[in-house]
Amino acid sequence: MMKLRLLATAGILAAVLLLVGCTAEEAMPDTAAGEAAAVTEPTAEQIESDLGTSQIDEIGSDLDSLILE
Amino acid sequence: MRKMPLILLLAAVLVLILPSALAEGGNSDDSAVPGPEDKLTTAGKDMRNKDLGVEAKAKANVPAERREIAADKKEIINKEAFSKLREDAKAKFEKLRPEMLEQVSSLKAENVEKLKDLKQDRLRAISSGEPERLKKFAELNREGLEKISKLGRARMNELANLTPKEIEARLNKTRLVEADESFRFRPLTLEQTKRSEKAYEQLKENEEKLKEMYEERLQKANETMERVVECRKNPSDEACSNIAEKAINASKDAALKAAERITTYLEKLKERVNGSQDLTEEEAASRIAKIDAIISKVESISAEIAAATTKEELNAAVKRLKEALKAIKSEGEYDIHRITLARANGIIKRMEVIEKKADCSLSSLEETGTDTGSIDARLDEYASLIAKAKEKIGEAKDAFNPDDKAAIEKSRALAKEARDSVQAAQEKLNEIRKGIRDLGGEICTQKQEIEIEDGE
Repeated sequence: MMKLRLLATAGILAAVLLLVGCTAEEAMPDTAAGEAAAVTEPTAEQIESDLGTSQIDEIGSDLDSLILE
Repeated sequence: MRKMPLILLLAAVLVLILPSALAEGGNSDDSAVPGPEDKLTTAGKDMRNKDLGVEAKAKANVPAERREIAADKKEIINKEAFSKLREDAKAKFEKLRPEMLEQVSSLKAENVEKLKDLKQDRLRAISSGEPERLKKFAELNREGLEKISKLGRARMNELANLTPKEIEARLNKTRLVEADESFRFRPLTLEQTKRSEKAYEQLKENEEKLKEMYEERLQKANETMERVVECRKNPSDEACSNIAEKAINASKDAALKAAERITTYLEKLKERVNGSQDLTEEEAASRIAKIDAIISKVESISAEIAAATTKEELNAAVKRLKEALKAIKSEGEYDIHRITLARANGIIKRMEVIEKKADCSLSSLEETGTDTGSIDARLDEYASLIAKAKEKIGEAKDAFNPDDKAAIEKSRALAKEARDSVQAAQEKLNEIRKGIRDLGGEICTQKQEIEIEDGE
C-alpha cells in the first residue's frame, strides 16, 4: 500500500512538473515579442519632432544675448 | 489509508487526461502565435475542411470547366510560337492562364524560346501585363529578359514605356538581391539595436538636465548684463566692483552649456543614424563622419570659450559658435530627411518582397487550375500604391534643400504622401492575404529577388 501511495504521489508530481514545464515554454514567445517591441523603431513624426532644429535656432538667439558690450 | 483509492483514481485520471490535454494545448499554442505565413496555411486548411459540402457541389462543375480550359490551352500551344519548344517547356507555358498564353502565342518563336528559361512565377508575372509590354520585353536579350522578369509589377510597367536602349540603361543601374520580409540595407543585431536605443534614451535624459542648467545660467548671464548697464550709470555703486569679470564668467558659463547642448543634439543625431537599418552602410558611415567633424569643431570652440579671459576673446568664440550653428542646422535637417526617407524606402523594399511572394503563391494556385484573377487585380493595385510611394520619395528627395524652410516643408509633405501610400498598400495586402487564404493557398516561404537601383 505504501508503495502504491508513493507511486501515486510520484505520478501527481510528474504531472505537475509537466504542466509547469509546458507553461514555461508557452511564456517564451511572449518574452521574445516583448524584446522586439522594446526596440520598435521611431516613426518619421517622432524623429522630426525629437530632432527638430528649432532648438538650434533658440540657442542661436540666446548666443546673441551673450555677446558682451 | 481509506483515501488511497481516491488518490489512485485521481492519479489515473491525470495520467489519462494529461497527454490529450497537452496535445490540445500544443495545437492551440500553434494557432495562438502564428506568423503571417502560418496563418495563411492554417486558415486555408480550415476553410477547406469547413466548406466540404459546398465544395463537393462546386467540384461537380469544375472538371468540365477545366477540361474546356485545358482544351483551349492545347489549341493555343499548338500554334507556331511554341513550335521550337520541347514538351516539358510547353508544359511550363500550359500552366499559364489562357489569356496569358494567348499573349505569348503572339510572339516570335525565338522569343518564346527565351521565355522558357524564366522561373514559373516570373514567367507568369511578365506575361500578365499589356500585350505590347510582353512583346517589347521579349525582344531583349536573355540576360535582360531574365532581369526584367524579376522586377516588380509596377517597375515592369514603368520600363515598358521606355525605348530598348533606355531599358538596358535602367537595368544596368539595377541590381537584384535575395531578400525576405526582414530585409534591411544595414542589418543590425538585436543587441546593437537595443544598445543604440538605450544610448539615445540616455542622451535625451542628459539633454533635459542640460537644458535646465543652461536656462539657469542664461538667466544669470542676462541678469549680470542688466547690472553692467546699471553700473555704467552708477559706477561707484558697491555692487559694481568686478562687474566686468562677473559678466565674462556668467556669459562664459552660459555659452559653455549652450555648446554642451549643441554637442548632445549632434550625438542624438549620430545615434539615430547609427541605429538606422535602412540607410546603407556607406551612407551611415559618411553621415557619422560628418557629424563627428562638426562635434570636433564645437568642442574646439568650447575650449576657446573656456580659455577666454577678456571680453574680446569671449565674444569672438561665442560668435564662432553662432556661425557653426548654420552648418549644424543644415546637417540636422539633412539627416532627419535621410533617416525618414530611408525608413520609408526600407518598408517599400520589404513590401516588394511580399509582392513577389504573393506572385509566387498565385502562380502555384494557378498551376492547380484555380482562377486567381480577382487577387491578381488587387495585387496590381498594391504594386501601384508601392510605385506611387516610391515616386513620392523621389519627389521628396528632389524638393529637399536643408537651407530652405519652405523646401523642407514641401519635402516632408511629399514624404508623408509616400507614407500614406505605403499605409494604403498595407491595407490592400490584408485583402490579398485573405484572398489567397480563401482560395486555399499558401504563401511562398522562399526568399525572393528584389531590385535595388543605384543611389537607393
